[in-house]
Amino acid sequence: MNKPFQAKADFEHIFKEYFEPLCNFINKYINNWEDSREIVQNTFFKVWQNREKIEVKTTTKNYLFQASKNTMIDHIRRSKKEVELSEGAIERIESQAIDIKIVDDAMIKKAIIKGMSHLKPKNRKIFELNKFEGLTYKEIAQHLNISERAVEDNIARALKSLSTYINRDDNFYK
Amino acid sequence: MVTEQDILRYLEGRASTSEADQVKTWLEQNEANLRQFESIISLWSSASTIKDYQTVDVDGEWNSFSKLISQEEQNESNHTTLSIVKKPSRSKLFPYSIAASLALLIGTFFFIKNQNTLPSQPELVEVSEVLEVTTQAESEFITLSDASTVVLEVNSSLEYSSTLATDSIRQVNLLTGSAVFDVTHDPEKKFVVIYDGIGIEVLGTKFYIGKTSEGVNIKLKSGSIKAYQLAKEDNNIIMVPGDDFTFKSNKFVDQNKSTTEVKTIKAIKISKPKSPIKKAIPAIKKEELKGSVFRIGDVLNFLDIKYGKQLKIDKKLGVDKNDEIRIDINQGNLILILQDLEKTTSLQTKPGKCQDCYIITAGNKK
Repeated sequence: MNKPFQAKADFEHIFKEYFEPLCNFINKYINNWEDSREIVQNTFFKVWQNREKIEVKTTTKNYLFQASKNTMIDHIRRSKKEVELSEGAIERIESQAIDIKIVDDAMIKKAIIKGMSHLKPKNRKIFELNKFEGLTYKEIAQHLNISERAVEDNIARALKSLSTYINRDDNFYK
Repeated sequence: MVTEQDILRYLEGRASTSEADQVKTWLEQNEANLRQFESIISLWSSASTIKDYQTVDVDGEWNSFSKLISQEEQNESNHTTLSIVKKPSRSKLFPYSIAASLALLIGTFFFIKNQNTLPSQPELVEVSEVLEVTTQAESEFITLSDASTVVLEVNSSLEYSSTLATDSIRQVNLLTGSAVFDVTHDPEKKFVVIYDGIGIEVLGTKFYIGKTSEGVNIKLKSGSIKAYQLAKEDNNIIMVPGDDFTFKSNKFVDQNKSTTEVKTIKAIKISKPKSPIKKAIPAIKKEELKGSVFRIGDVLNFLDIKYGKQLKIDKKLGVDKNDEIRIDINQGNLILILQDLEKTTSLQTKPGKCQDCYIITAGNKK
């Protein structure tokens, strides 16, 4: 039997690992960050209330993403947000299985953010300029007065380091 | 040898022909290379849209959450009002009357959702909590404080008052999904289920309510039910066991295509004509008796729900409520129904205090 939410210490660990990617996952549907946070809070609250009874048959990750989606559907129906999503759209969301790629995308992004602190300073800076600021390799090269080839090398090394970090991070696979 | 730079150029479409061929050859070498490549694709793809990702002060969120659950645990041990995790501005408030005398007059509910917004209430005997149950992957069996039970099906939620057993009206709000209710009979207290714009009023019965693509579906297994549109109470139906209705387009649509078969019983109890009801009523011949077969108790419940304002039923009737009678309860005319009741049971009807009011009493024993 897999009852991962029973002990408070375990629950805290799970909360801290999944809270942020769950908020981003829900936000993809409803595009409202505050409501997304509240939905995820409510999800964890319900899980905490039922922690003795919940038995996870798949993975903790899958359980939490599905539970959050269900809470989101309830939230949409109850708070009369149908003006933004039609009833037909709500039913479609409800009936569709969660795309595992979306789940993994949220988790990978969380891992990238966390892993960036382990990058070498130059790799990190160039990675940020490209991925967060949206600068092209040419623009970064001009900005830092280096070659485009050097920019490419730094990005590639950053991706390799992050890949190593993510593959080592146990939480991603749960 | 293929480097990370080669793979990156290949993904970004900047690889030369020879570089692309090298990558393809490397991919075909073994499964490990393929898995590594897929891992880099996922990472590269997610990194491309990383700027849309929002971060959270997770420690701060946990501290808030931890305080909330500690507060809840403390409240439970102190038996004080519980705060549900909802903002007051989004909470639904139903008018709720705690004192029995007020409830009889008003007949509505008030759920207290947030301790900070607790309004002043006259003669408050006990503060009610709102209890909410939500299912996700599994259904849940709930026993209410009046011993009624609810099977809440998957992906469903409902809420009810913690003082339901002592409330003058027993009310449950089905919020989402579907449920099967088995309601403890209490002739003094109606049991009301509210769902998606309709209300279901019962005295004691077993029924299913849920939502389909067509509308809200109600199936009655036993007892009697009055289902009505919340916005327009005149739009209602009285359901009998076996009925299956769906509420759609503001109408109650009978899902049973054919008429319900009439069960035959061993003997139809037809009493000799009793003293006539004081108001002038046309006589009905014995052979004109129509309708279906029901338990006397269910017929009386039905009459109480539908004609409660005109009808009073004495508590001691001297009949076995499990006895079956044949009666057409959907005649739409109370007088005719009462006359049929007199014909098929030992019950008597006499005028009440108001015009068009009647009292059902015990008749003379045979």
